[in-house]
Amino acid sequence: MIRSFCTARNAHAAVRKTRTAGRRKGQTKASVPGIAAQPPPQSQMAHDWIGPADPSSNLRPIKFRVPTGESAAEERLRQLRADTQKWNQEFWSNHNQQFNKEKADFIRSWLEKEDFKSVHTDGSKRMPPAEDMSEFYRTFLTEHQHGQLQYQREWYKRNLYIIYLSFRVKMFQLVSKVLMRR
Amino acid sequence: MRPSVFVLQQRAGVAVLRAVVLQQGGRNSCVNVWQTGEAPARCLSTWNNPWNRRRQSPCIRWYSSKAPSSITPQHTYKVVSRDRAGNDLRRILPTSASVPASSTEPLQGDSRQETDNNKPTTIAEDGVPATGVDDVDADPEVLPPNQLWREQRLDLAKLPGYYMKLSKIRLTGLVVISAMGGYYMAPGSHDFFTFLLAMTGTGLTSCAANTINQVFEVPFDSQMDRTRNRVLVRGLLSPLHAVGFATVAGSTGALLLYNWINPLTAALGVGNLALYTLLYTPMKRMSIANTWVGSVVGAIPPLMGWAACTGQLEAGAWVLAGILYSWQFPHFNALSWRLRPDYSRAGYCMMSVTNPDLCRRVALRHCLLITTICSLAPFTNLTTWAFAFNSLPLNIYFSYLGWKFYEDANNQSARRLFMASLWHLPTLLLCMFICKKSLHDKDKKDNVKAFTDFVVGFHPFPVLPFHRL
Repeated sequence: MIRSFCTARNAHAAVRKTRTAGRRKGQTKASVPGIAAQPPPQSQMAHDWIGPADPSSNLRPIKFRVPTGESAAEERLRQLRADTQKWNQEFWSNHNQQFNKEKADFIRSWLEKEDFKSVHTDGSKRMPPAEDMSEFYRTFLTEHQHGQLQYQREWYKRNLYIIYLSFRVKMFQLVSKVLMRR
Repeated sequence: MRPSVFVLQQRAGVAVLRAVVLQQGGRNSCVNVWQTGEAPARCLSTWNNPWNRRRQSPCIRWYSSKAPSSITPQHTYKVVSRDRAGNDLRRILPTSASVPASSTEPLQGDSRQETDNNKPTTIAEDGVPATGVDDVDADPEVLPPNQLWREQRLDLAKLPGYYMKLSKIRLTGLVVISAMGGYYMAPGSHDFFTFLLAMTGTGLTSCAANTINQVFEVPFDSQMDRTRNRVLVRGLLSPLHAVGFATVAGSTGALLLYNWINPLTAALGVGNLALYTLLYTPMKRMSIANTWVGSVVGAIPPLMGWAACTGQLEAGAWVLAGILYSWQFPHFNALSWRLRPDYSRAGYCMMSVTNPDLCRRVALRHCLLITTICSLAPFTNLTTWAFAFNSLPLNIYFSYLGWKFYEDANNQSARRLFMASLWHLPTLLLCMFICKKSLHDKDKKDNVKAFTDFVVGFHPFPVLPFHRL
């Protein structure tokens, strides 16, 4: 009886699966508010939207909302945030690309030093062991340290300025809300 | 249930991995999985998409690898297809296209950037490779939650959770425990409310320090697997909100300590906060000396607890601080060993990347230093002499693991040392609490005097009645 129960349940599950597979293609709207595959157009945005991590820079892009009646301070803050986002995106995608390129070059030269076999007998890729890779990690870090320090200095300045400006904007908004209430 | 092979896909563009499900519980329970070509995943937990929950048997099932420790990343997988393996397990062992062959290459070092295979190799349910993967994945019902756009609206119900994550509540808890240890071991009188206030103040300053650290590390945290899902990286709170939280927590903690405890504790708390945020956080990218600064940061909380009890720092306080200072090195060096690729790419200057020999040497050196300090702790009247002997087996085992890491540093020895450090410190502190001097002091004899009496009295000659000669 248990076996028949299990098979009946599996058969039922299989039927539901094929049915819902068809239904899935029809429905594309996510029924959770605030989450979507793409951000809505500007007119429908109530807040900023943050997206999935960019594969080259690992940073999450933010789509900024431009409210009607935006003050000069708010616009300045938004421009600064957008500019910083672009600058970050550029830096990290270049940096990661450089990392991948140098890593590939290192592995290629390691394979050449070994014996040109890039694939093990069982078909998987052949990679240098950890001690050899640590050599690469060390040289990469020391080569790019100067650039990283310059980036860090600039990032700290921008981040502090963004926090300061957003504090001013927030205070202004609070005060104007209180005044409007009165 | 017969084992079956699930083909799991992480996301579009990342190749699949195959998992053999050996045991399966109910729909929402854990599944034991053995993955081909990698170290076995301990457990997977499943959940259904929230918008599919009303369906009885969901067609989309999300699995996540349960991180066995905080340093391994959590990956989300989607079941793409499944076939019964039957009894022929050898058939399940084909080479997986996604996993690296070398077992010494750290698993969690492979972030998205480092996978070489970018071709989608999804296998559709009828066995034919799916070519148009992208249009399927554009469907929000098919994408995992972390690949969708999210509105940046503050969810007040989740705010306490966000604050706990911002303040790294587990780390803060350990800091408070070490401050409790300092309070308990201090020879002053113990008062419950003073204790509570001191611990609250310490906890609040620690929360503030961790939050400020996260505010400034957002782009660097996004690069590393371990930290990719932090609150500010995911945009769940704005940086201003986080800074506001840190300001409120830090100032409340400092004022609490200043007003109700004593100025020394408040000064130590504020000094620790400044050291962590203004010195350690920027230094992480400048030089490897950041590890030493970070160890000082870890050694200050017991000093705070001690000062809260007695109002000054006696020799015993420095012994306790010394033990915590030395402990940081094997703990952190073992942790950072496995994260070398991530640190290198994100630009962090750590010993494990720039000078691996120094990393291993320093870890071993400080393991031995802990042993020495614990053996000499009774001289400061902090503990009885029993502590020197009781802590010896613990410290010798820890030093043995440090020696193994020094001799042959690989992921396994690093992991063993790191895991051991996690239980070594609480056990050592417990031992110390049991051997506290005032608990066992019947005649309040000074330990140094007891030691010198013992040494002088230890002579091999029989006592001759010289006064009779």
